[in-house]
Amino acid sequence: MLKPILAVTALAAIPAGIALADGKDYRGSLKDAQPMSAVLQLAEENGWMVRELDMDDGFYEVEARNAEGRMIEVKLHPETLQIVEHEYDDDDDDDWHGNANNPARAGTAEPPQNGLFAPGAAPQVEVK
Amino acid sequence: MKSLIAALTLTTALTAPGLVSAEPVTFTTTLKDYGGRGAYVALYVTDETGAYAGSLWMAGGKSKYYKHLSDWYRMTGGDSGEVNGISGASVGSGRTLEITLDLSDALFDAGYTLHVDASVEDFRDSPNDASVPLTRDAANTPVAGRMYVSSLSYSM
Repeated sequence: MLKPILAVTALAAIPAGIALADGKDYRGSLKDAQPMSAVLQLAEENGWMVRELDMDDGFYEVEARNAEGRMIEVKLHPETLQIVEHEYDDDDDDDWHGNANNPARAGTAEPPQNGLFAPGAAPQVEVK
Repeated sequence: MKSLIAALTLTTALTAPGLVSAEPVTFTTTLKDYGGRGAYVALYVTDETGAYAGSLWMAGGKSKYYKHLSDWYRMTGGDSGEVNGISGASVGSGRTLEITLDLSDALFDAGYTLHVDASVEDFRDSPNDASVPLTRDAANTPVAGRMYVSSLSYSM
């Protein structure tokens, strides 16, 4: 059973404000951002079981299981908590930090026919 | 007309083997011990004009983070189809990513350059962290990276 979990990174992200460093997407101030408790309250109202909550480029990002049991990723405006992006994330096997011990190529698709690869060649990958 | 057809036949016969011949090339990317979480790393190639030619590998499983590989993202428009079948997990601090690919011979000594973009959560993005020309002479000669990449080399 999933319980609401706050990622350690999320706690570190707000005071540092690192996610806003490039200023590409959100140009406001973190001082105006809603507290994380408000995000969690919104999640509870929507029936989301929060798995991870953090900030990326100044937006809240929630990874959760929704009321229908599907994994979702939702981006929220930090001030209004309006949903900016919503997508399903049923392929839930690799976070940002991933699993460096499992470098196998994803899926079974052959490399793209971009002219760089020999036809039918399968990459071999190892992380040491 | 006959001579044109003959000429085309001859040139096709001469060039076709070069287009399809290939050899395994091993790319070795060693990351510095930067102390953060696993790095997203994109290996891609540009041609002699600097234009994007194609991707060789994407280390990092979630396409929503690809924008942090900013040169790759700009050149591809963030199209994750560019790395379909050539992507895997991110690479940990201090680890070495070794990829062996069967590549077209036509990639070498033809003005192509290999680039590596890298990014780490909560750290600065590092487009073009390392680059090396794809020539037979430059093989087995490691080059240093700028931020996350300690060294980049390839052997064939």
